[in-house]
This record gives sequence, C-alpha cells and structure tokens, in this order.
Amino acid sequence: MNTGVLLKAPPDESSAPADSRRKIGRSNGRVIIYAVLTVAAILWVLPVWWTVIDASKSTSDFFAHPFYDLPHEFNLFSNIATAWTNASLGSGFINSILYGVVGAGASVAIASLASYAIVVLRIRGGFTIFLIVFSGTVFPLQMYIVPLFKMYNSLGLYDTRIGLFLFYTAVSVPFCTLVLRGFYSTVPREYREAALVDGVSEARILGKIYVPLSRSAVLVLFLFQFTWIWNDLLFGIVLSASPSVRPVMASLSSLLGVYAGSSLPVVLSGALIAASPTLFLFFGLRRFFVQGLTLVARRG
Amino acid sequence: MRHDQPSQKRRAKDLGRSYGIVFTKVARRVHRSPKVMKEPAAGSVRAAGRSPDNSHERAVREGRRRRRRRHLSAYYYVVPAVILVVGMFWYSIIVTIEISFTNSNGLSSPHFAGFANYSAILHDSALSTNVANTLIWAVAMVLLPAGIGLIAAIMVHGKRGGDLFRSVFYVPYAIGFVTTGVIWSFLFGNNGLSELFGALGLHSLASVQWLNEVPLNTYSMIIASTWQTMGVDMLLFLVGLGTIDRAVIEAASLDGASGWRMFRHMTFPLLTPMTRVIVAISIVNALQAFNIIWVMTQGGPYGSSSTFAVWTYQESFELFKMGYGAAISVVLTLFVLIVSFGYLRRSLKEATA
Amino acid sequence: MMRHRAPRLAAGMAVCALLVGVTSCASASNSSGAKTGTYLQLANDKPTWTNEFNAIGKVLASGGGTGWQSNAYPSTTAFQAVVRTAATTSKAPALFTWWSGAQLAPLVAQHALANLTPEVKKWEAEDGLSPDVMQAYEVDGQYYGAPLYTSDWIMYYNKKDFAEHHLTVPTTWTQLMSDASVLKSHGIAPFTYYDQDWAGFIWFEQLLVEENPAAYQELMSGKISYTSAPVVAAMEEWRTLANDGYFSTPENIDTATPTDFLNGSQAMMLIGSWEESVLTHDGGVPGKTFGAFVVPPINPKVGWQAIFETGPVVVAAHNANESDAIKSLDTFMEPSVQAKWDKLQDFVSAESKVPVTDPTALSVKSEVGQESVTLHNRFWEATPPQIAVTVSTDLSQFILNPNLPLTPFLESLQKVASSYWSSTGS
Repeated sequence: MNTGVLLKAPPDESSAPADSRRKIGRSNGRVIIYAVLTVAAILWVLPVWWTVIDASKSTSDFFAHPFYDLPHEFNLFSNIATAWTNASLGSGFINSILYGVVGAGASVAIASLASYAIVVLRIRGGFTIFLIVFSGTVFPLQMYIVPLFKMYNSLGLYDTRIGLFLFYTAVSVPFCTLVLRGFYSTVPREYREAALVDGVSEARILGKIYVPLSRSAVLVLFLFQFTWIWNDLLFGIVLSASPSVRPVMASLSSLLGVYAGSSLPVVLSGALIAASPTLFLFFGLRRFFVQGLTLVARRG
Repeated sequence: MRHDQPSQKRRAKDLGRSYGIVFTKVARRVHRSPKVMKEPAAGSVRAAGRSPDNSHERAVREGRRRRRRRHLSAYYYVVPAVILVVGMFWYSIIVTIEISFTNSNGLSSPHFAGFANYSAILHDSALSTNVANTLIWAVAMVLLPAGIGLIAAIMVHGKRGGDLFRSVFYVPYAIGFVTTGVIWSFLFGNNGLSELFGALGLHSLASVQWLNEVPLNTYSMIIASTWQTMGVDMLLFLVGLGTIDRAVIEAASLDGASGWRMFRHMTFPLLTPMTRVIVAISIVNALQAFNIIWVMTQGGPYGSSSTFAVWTYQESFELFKMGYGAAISVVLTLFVLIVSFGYLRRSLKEATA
Repeated sequence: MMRHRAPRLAAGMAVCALLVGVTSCASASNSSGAKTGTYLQLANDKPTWTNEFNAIGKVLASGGGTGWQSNAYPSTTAFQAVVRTAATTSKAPALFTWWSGAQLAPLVAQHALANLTPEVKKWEAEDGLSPDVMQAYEVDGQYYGAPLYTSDWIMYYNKKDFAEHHLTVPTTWTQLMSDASVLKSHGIAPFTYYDQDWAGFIWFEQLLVEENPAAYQELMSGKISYTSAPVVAAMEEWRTLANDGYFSTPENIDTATPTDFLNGSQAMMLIGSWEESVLTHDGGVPGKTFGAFVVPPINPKVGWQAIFETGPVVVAAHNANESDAIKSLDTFMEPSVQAKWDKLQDFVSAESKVPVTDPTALSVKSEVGQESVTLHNRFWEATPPQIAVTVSTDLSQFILNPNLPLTPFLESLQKVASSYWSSTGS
C-alpha cells in the first residue's frame, strides 16, 4: 500500500492561482472544522465536567445548590475516602487490573493467531471458523449468567480467579478477531510472499511483519477490552463470591441502591476513582494509536 | 517514473533491514498499480528472478505442497480461539435452547413444553413495543456513534490538538456504563438538565420528562449511549485512517481532489475494512442493547423502553419464566445472526477478491 | 521446526496465563463456604449494608459463636437468579436474605429452606417476637425465616414546610387532605411520587388498606377480583388525588435522591422507614428536618392501618453448615444483639423486649398512642411475584396516565391474577 501510487509530475505554472485558492479554502475549512470540533467537544465534556464538580461537593452543598454550580468548598478527597472505605474498593482494584491485563492481552494474542490463519494463511473453512468465533458475541450476553454459573460450579471454577480469566478472555476474543481480520486483510500479500520465498516461517512473518504493522490496532483493542473487562458488573458478581476474587465494579455498585445509599457526590467520586485505571491506560497508549503505517512511510 | 526507482529500492531495503528480511525482490514490482499488487503468488516466483521455466513447474508444485503442509499446522492457530469460544459460550447457548422448549422457572424441575413459548411470543402484547424499540436502537446505534465517530475521526486526523479531542471523546467510554447510567439518569431526572434549562429560561425544555415520555425515553437513552460509545468508533476509524498511506492522499490531492471528493472517492473506500468492522459490531451491540437500558429505566415505565434484550432478562429473572425468556433470546439471536452474517459474508467475499 | 513455533507460542502463552492465574489463586483465599474461623457466608442483595452485616457478623462470632460474612450482589435480579439456581444444590449459600410472604413459598416447595419453627416459637416466647410480623414468614403453618428488618410504610413530612404553613400532624384523612391543599396552594408538591415499575403499588396498597383492609387481604390472596368495588373505590380516590395535583412529577425511586423532599419543595413522602438512613445520609436530621406519621384511615371505622415490609434471613437446607447457620440466627435474635443491630441501621426490632430508640419511630408511636395499628404485609410480598411484578408495572402506567379508562385497566390486572390463581388451583 505504501509503495503504491507514486509522485506525479510536479504541477505546472498555470494551476498556481487554483493552488492559492485551494490554500485559502483549506484554511477556511480548517477554521470551520476546529469550530465544529470544539462545539462537539464541549457537548461531550459537559457531563464529565459536571460529574467532577459534583463529586467535589459536600452533601449539603450538593442539595442546596443546582448541580451545575461550582462547589462552594472542595470536598473531593474526603468524598473519595468515604467512597473507598464504604465500598472497600481496594481488593476489587487489584483483581480487576489482573483480569484486564490477562484477559485483554491473552485475547488479543489469541485473536492475532486466529485472524492470521483465516485471512493470510487462508485455511479451508476459514470463514466458517470465523463465524463460529464471532458467534460468541451474537447471543445476548446477560443470558449466559445461569448456564455459566451452573457450568462453573460443576467444573469447580466458581469463585476462582482462573475462572474469571477464562471468561474475560473468551468474551474478548470475538471482537478482537473481527477487527484484526479486517486489519490483516489490508496488509499487502507481497510482504509475506517475498518472505516465504526467502524461507521465513509463518510464525516469524506474523511476529515480525503483521504484528508490528498492526500495532495501532493491537493497542486499541487492548485498551477497549481492558476497559470492557474493567467495567463489567454482571459476570463479576455472578461468577465470584469472595472479595478476594470480585472485580471492582461490584464494589462500586454497592454505593448505589435503594435501601441505604451514599449521597450522589460520594457515589460519583467512587465512580471517578474506579475509572482512573482505564483513563490512565488510555492516556498512556494514546500516542501509539495513530502512528501505524505512517511511521513506515516516513522512513523512505 | 524511472528516476524515483532507486529511492523506492532504498526504502524497501530499509524496510527489509528493519524486519530482518531482504526485500529487494519486492522493490522491482513496486511501481505497479495497487490492483495488480493484490494478485496472488503465482507471479512472485518469476519476479523473484529465478531461472526460467523448466524449474518453474517444480517450484510451483513444491509451493503447493508447502502450502498444504502449512495449512495443516495452520489449524493450530485457530485452536485457542475456537476452544475458548465454543467451551465458554456454545455449551451455554445449547443449554438455553434446551430450556426454551420447557416451562422452566429456574427452581423446580422443568417440563417439556414444545413450541409453546415461541407461539406465546407471537401473542404477547409486548411484542410490538419490543420489536419497535430494538429496531430503533439498531438503526440509531449503527448510524449515530459510527457516523459522528467517522466525521470526528476525519476532522481530528493529523490535526494539531487532535490529542485533546481524542481524549475528550473517549473519556465517556472509559468511565463505564454503570457510571454513565448514573450520570445520565440524574441529568434526565427532575433535578438535572431540567434545572439547567429552567435557569437558562428554556422552560418548555425544562418540563420535558426525558425518561417517562414515550418514545422520548428510548431516544434519551440513545443519547446517553451515543455519548458513551462514539469515542470507540472514532478511535477505530482513526486506526483505519492511519493505515492509509499519506502518499496516496497527497498524490490524489495534487491531482485536484480535495474535501468531499477526496473523502468520497479516496478516503472512504480505503476505510472500507474498518467501516465494515464497526458496522458489524454496532449492529450486534445495538440489537443487544441491555446494560444502559437496565441501569436507567429497566425497560420502563410500563415496558415502554424495553428491547428484546431487556425483555428476555425480565421474563427470566424477574418473572421467573426462564423457558419463555430463553425462547425470546433464541429469537433475538437468530435475528442478529441473520443480519450480521449476511453483512459479514458480503464483506469477506470482497476482501478476498 | 520453526514453522510450528507459533502454535507452540500460543500454547506457551496459555500456560503462562494459567500460571499467573494459579499463583494469584494461591495467594488469594477463595471460598464459597466457610472462612477460616467460624464465619458463614451471608449472600444478600443489599450491598449498602455490607459494613453493617460484617459488623454484626463479628458480634455473632464473638464468644465462640458463628459469625456472618456479607457477600453482596449489587443486582437483585442476578442475586435471585444465582440463589434460585443454587438453592436446591449443596452449593447454596449457607445464609441468605430473601423476601417474605409469597416469595418464600417456591423455595419451601423445593425443600431449599431449613424449617425454623422450633426456633421461632422460642423467640416468640422468650424475646417477645411479634406473631403479626412472623405471619409473613409462615408457609403451611411452618416458619422459614428470621426477621432481618421490619419497616413500616409511613408518611415522612418536611417539618419546615409544616411549620411555615401552620400545619400539624394530621390524625384524620380529612385533615391530611386539607393540609395537602394548603401546601399545594403555596406551590409545594404535597406528596412525592415514584414511577419505577416495581414501585407502582405504593399508593395503591395504601389507599386500599385505609379504605377497606379486609378487601386488601382478600385481594392479595386472590379471593376477590381487581374489578371489585373496594378496588374501584381506591383507584378512584387515587385518581382524584392525581387530578387535584397533589403528586409531584414522578421520579425514579432507585436513582433519585430525596433532594426536593429535604429542601421542602415536596412536603410529604410515603415510604418505608428504611428510607430514613438515606435521608440522614443526605443531610436530613430526624426530628428537625423531617418527622413521620402513620397515614390516617380514609374510613375512620377501620382504625389505624399500616403497611409493613419485612425481610428475612433464611438458612439453606442443603448446605453442610446448616446447624451452625441456625445457631448464628439464634444469637442474632437475642435482644442484646437486636439492640446493636437496630443501632447500626436505625431499625426497629420486631421483638418487644428490645427498646425502641429511633426518634422517628418513637414519635410515630406517640402519635398513635394507645391505639393499636393493624399491620399488613406489603403488596410485593403479600401476593405471588408472578402477579406482583406485572400488576405493579401496570400500575406505573396509571401513575403516568391517571385518566385512562378504569374498567378495562382493572380487567387487564385481573386477567394477570386469575391466570396465576387458576394455574395453581388455589
């Protein structure tokens, strides 16, 4: 792809006015684009902004004034402390980090292998296999709770970390396979063919060509799956019981509820704390998302 | 074009060196058009500069044998994925299908009920509402997050400050659906946006019952869901845009393409693989819209915002009619299968063209 | 051969993942049964009570007894699904919270619950456990639960609103109505209103009970129809209240905060007394910001009526720790432990030997004085869940549209009820 269409002959003099017109048009367009983006960004960030300021209010402050007012006293840290102790978020944190890393990492690796075989090696029945894997997502996920609960009990996986590792990996594989399949189909086949001619093994082709080329997709998938696993509530509570196994959202949700509730500022600060790892992960990986092939092109 | 060939060769060599493989043979073919380059390996042997034709057949036969051997061990690659998915999910699906033919209530021993549950679905007064809402969710969640995400991705791509915008649009997904549900339930409640609108003087907006009026409650939840997932689609599109070589775009723009024409004839077609992925996953997720609805309205009031995914959960776990709930989820799954497989089959055929 | 490296790689990764899992398992103590020591798992769907459960659980374990460890499920539906699936197996949690009334019967029918009748008789005799409350735990003459909490549904009122408009706590229905109209004329919503599907029954049961308590009981057990005269009368009273504008705009009971009640834009709140801890958490002061009273009867001849709800702790019959679990319940029902539990939760015990300390309960008691209050189990538990869930959802429709045609509406409710009663042949 990056060795495709090349430089054409340089534009000739007669198109110069069109060039400058295009340049002016381009800068006007750029202003419009920035304006639209800014409006959209403000709309998107407002609920988050309100969450942050409401999480920083004391309870009386929250009830006495409209929610969009700035806090009259900064109470965020004590709210966080209350949320942390009320909901015992500590052990859930560690568990969820483990589940996220292992689940997302393993599923991306497994999906890379499967997509490689289906798209590049073109194994027979590849489409069928892909459909089998993809069908994991097609069934309404919440209906799995009773059959899986029974299965886990009979297999002794109930309330174990390995049980949750298996589940989170299995749940992430279909989406990763779908994305990587699409991605691998855009990689030119020539790289592989030339490498094969040179006697390079499939494994090295996958490892040395396809994986680096798909780095942005791999990282994005890792981020998405980590976030999904981190935010899972239902299976975390159905497939586990003890606090040493339970993921973080189970603890967070304990702040909500009818029978006795924490006030909304405390709930929101707990939610912000619970969201911090996924946010950190995103901010850490941001740089790598959109480099991909453009890095390769610049080398020439 | 001859004058630029050495630079291409150099570039390919750099590529090769960085991956530990010599690419010189590829370099000779680089000036062909993209369409030609997609052809399978038949030409590679010749282009590789080996001795001509009498050993060509032997090489081809050897290649085929190697390919067959490769194919057998290639199945190892898919084994982990298949085992995980089949073991975790297919057993559960089969069990659920079994239950759908009984009158199970999750507690006492079930009795066989034949197709009674399925015909009950057809006669249920809630059917039309659920079908309507499910379809609304499907259409909206395919168009809105993907559409806005695509526009956002194109606008943000390669711009300065793109980082900031990417972060702003992605943060909602990072905070999770429970928190999203809490925030938007509050905003759509009596003390949320209504207060803000009232303070701004927009009294007609302030009196809107976002989660109580039908079908507004579905649309309100779609707003919340779009807010949450648009960043995901945007990031995926950005990844897809990143795979498009800048040289291609530059060449096209020097040719005179810009703005809409550039998008329609160059960018969008090149994004097709990623678009297909996003549409497929949006269809599946939309038809199964459950989490955010459950957190915000639980399908209410009076089942007015319920979708098939919510309906199956309620019948199974609130009314303890597990057989009926299982039948509903089987019907939903069949529908999702038909729609998504039909879409994916087309995309696979084109991708391997 | 190098060609097979990738499959080996995959196998290697799987082994690594397993090792990570196993080693992290080894360092974690995972148990679905007894913890080290003498603690039993108490599965529940009240995660906000976790700290209180664990605190009282420590009290129970002191002195060599069997304690409780809370295992909370934030989702009620998931909790019920898990318990129902596990109830008849040995994997059932040793103790779990459940619902009273008609929700106990299905578990009892499957022999999933331990029979607590001998213990209950002892508690009634020695600790003054109220037989009225225990009626909610009776199935076929046997008892299957110990009351974890008993809450009355009372009318909380905003003291400031009442003081500002010179209103006193109403002791008759007429007075309540005139109080409401005064409040309304000053722009205050007299009663809070909830629209969540399960909350549709709140005003329905209250109005019916204040008008004709005997009809309420008969309706719950299916002896009279939803189209009968007392029910129609209650619905029409409800419609009048709605059309007179006495209700606030409906809120989601599960997620709404009592902001408007606490700041006075809503004056009265008909809710279970468990809401009190929410009100205090959100800054209200019992006795200062708010108080409570029993809703006066519409028909003065019937005397004071109140709806109550009670939730049990039950013991799984198939769990290996059944006898230890029952012992822990025995300790829990001792008046001294009950007093501690009440203090933790602002509850009122169902045992008369436990002194009442909650200020709101005391003020409610003083309002009623020497007269007795007849207690009725809440709609949600008094009638089978297959009816309760659907009818409650339908009643939410009435909340949103009180002027819908009444007769076909009530007929549709009756259809739900009769399809259940006819299928069980009672």
